[in-house]
Amino acid sequence: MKNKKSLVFITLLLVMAIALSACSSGGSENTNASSDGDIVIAHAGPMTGDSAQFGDMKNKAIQLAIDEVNEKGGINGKKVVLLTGDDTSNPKEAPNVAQKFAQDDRVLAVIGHWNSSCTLAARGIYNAAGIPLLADSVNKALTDGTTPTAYRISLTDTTQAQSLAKYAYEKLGKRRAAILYTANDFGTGLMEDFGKAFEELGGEIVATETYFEGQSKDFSPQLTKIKGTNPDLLFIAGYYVETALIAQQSKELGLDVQMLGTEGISSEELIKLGGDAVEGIIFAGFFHPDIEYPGTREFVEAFRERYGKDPDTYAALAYDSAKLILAAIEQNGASREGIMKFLDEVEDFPGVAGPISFDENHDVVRNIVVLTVKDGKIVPAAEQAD
Amino acid sequence: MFLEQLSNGIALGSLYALTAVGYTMVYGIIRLINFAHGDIYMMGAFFTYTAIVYFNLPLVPSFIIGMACAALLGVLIAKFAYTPVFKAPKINLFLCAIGMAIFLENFAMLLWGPETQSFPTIIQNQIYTFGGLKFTKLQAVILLISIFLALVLSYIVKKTKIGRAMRCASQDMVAARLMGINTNKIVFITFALGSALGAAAGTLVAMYYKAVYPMMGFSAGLKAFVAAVIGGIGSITGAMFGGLIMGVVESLGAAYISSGYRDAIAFIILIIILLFKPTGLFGKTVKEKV
Amino acid sequence: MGNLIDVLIKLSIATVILYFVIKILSKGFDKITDMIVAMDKEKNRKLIYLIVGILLVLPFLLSRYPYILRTSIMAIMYVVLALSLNFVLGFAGQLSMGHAAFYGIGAYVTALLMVNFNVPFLLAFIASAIVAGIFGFLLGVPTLRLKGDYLAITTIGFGEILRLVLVNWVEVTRGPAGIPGIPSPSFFGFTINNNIGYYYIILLLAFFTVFVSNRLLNSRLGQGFIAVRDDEIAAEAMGINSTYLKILAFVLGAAIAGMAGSFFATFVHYVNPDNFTYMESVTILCMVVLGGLGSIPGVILGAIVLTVLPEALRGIALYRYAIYGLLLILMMINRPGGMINMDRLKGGRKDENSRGSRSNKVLRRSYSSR
Repeated sequence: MKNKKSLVFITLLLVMAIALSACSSGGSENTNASSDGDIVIAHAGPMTGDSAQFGDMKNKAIQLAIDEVNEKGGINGKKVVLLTGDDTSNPKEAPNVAQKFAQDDRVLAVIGHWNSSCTLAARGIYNAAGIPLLADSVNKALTDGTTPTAYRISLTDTTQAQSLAKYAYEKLGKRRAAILYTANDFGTGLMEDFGKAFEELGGEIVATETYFEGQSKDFSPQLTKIKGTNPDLLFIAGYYVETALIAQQSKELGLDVQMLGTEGISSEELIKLGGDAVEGIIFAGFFHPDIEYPGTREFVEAFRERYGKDPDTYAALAYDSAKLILAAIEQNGASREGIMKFLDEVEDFPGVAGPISFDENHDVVRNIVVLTVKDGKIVPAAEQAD
Repeated sequence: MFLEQLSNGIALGSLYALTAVGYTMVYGIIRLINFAHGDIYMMGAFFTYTAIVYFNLPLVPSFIIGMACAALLGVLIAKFAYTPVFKAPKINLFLCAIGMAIFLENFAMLLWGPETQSFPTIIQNQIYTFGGLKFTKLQAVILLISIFLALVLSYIVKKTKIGRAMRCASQDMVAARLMGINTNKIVFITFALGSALGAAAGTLVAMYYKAVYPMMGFSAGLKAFVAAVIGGIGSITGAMFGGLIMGVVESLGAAYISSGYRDAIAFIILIIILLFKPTGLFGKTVKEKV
Repeated sequence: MGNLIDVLIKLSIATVILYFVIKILSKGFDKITDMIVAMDKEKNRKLIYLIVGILLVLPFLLSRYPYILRTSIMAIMYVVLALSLNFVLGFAGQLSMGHAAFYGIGAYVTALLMVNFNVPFLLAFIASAIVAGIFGFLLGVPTLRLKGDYLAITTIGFGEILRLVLVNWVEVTRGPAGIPGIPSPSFFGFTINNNIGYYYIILLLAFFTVFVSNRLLNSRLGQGFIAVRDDEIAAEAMGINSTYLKILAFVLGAAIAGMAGSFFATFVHYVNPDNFTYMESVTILCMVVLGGLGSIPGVILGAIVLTVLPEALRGIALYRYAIYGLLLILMMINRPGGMINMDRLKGGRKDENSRGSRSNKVLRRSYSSR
């Protein structure tokens, strides 16, 4: 008797809740102020949670690109609208965001996700729906050919790590490298590829230590240990917040060694957080305001004026992604296929971070820019990678 | 190398100890694992940061403002979120605390933005060596402040009238009320004190790492909780020792075992200690009344 | 900082709305509960058939809305997870906060077996349940000595240690990059590769879990559970082997969570340590308590609401989790027994003052009774 009652209940509630979910998702779509004729592109990335700062920068840059087009009257008289989906850096949430966009016929292309894990979790859904995905995640598995709608606008971790290893060995003349990496797919990938490349060139990896992005604040045990191995180079495979802290703490611990960073630290915030300690650090980037391509200066100025800070690498790449998509729509019309056709064919598209073309794997073809911090400013290094 | 790692551990441990003291104090009186403590710690750091950066106040007044605002916040939380559930089952209070933690994190994100803000450098770092142990000025300040605050707290709890009322309330809330103690007031005072301590810890940690960000309370709160449990939750001395033990074990573990398993080491120590002494190192065994 | 007033106003409005919604829904829930309690057997059976029927045809109705179908699948998966935690928390009264660990173990076992050894899904599924169950046993035995808060922190520790193992044991788990490319399950030559298929698999698992929960609750064992939860010492005095029961609860809960994990791995085709964090355990815990501790329909409803709500709130992006936190607090204040109160469902107390009436020494020791 009691069983029956609760069973009735359960089933009743299941139905109710599903009905509720149907209403709510129907309802929330209406809240996005867009009418039928609008052109919709989407950004999926971390807007809350540990990595929210990166998603925030990207969103700002994409919004800027879209507003620029809308100010000029839109594309063929149609307004462009941005939909933002928050994946909270969580690979569990990412597919939900993806499915929401995939179901929405108006969404023509998606920019994101920022975390490789999120992109990997969501890419299948975009692929099934035939939505072009422009990601700046670096994990090499992303463009392994199983999901042809995915394009990557940043270099893979492998390419970046190889360039950095070569630069460290040949240009800086370093032989004994210690690695401190963040324990996520980004850090692990870079750590492995850098180590391999550096050892192939003839160098030696003397220590490999790890930490957790967004949680670790104290690096003294790792740094003390690294100090004991006497390296001549410290490669930090992580993002700017932790890199700034690592720089400060290694200074306090008396570890005085050339530091090498990744594209993940090329942000003004590095200097704000790191102060004097990050002076002289060398790192990879895909973008620098002083390395001017057509439109770079205008972009930097517009961004600065609107948001009161300098755009970072991710912002620049997100801006370029948006520009690419908008140009594709202008040329091939508002369809998902049209955008992909454009991306396949595009050659040397003038991006603010350099000309963009994609290879047969849908990876972008570009070189790293070697940057350094000098007198409290990020400047291009005197010697660039070949 | 060992001595260096030991000093790293003590420095880290004093940060944990400082946070754990506030945690354990609230627990001692109300028997509530205040999951929001880490986030009050974060809010405290942000209050001080705001006073310094937005209102250009000097450090000491900002520090006091930070602690006062956090104390006020603690009382508000106790009043509007916790006291209404005191009569309900304990798990409800527990969930309220979790809800408050989630709320505060996101509230801070809405107000100050998600990015890490740099905390202005105020105390210039100078390195001292003391019998092979190396520490910076700020580390010394933090250790001294933690000990000082723990002493003040012990004094309040053990010697003052309010402290006696607190201990009374912690033993039996109903009996305390029957004895004419305003238990509501005691709860609020406890929360105010605990939150002010949390804010002090948050601010010092922010100064130490020169960074404030909305998620900073999450792992700090968890670590402080672990430290408090290792020491025997409810015991102020225990929290100090628990924090120090954890800092040292973590540093040595990261150095000699693996930096990837660093956080696991803290938890393994916790589980081992709890299995042999289920109430922590300094905890009192409470006989269950049947 | 400049938007202080704006943020406060929006949050206040949200609080007021939530407050009234909860008040109104509370009334509604109580009404429905009473109605169903009052219903006779025949009507009951008809209603069950009707609802099961609707659930069975639902995916075809939703096939044009893949997002809703996907959300439904996730919701049902969380129903399974929440019910599995309910064994430990609601039945045996043990505050376990590391439940995501078992879910993660299940997911990883399936992922590793299917990707590395091409094991068929059914075998991997069973292996997941067994391995997770073994871990449940391993956690259950030593933690028997611990009570309440100490148990909570130990289980948190267990969850964190497991996550760190997943991250650091790169040779086996492939570390933080996770395991991509988990194949779709196939049964007797039919490969399930669309969401409708997944819907039926998870629905089947949910029915199974509800069935087990229901049978257990109304059996001798279940009565033993309730006795242990309400007063362990008295229960032991009555000859109930509380040790055995508690461990059984842990093993059963872990095994079912492992099955859910196994499903998740094949559904998303990708597992990653970030899926199984402490926050995930907390989410499952919230579902159980918010729905109504120990009450099966309540837990189900809790799981559905807490899965659907964050999705429904996507429209307000940044305020989403702030409101989620507020909801938890307001619910606990206004409806401490959860959405569907166990007592009321049993046709028991109908008055509002039934809060904290039962005197479980672990979960239900309240502030006033100390």
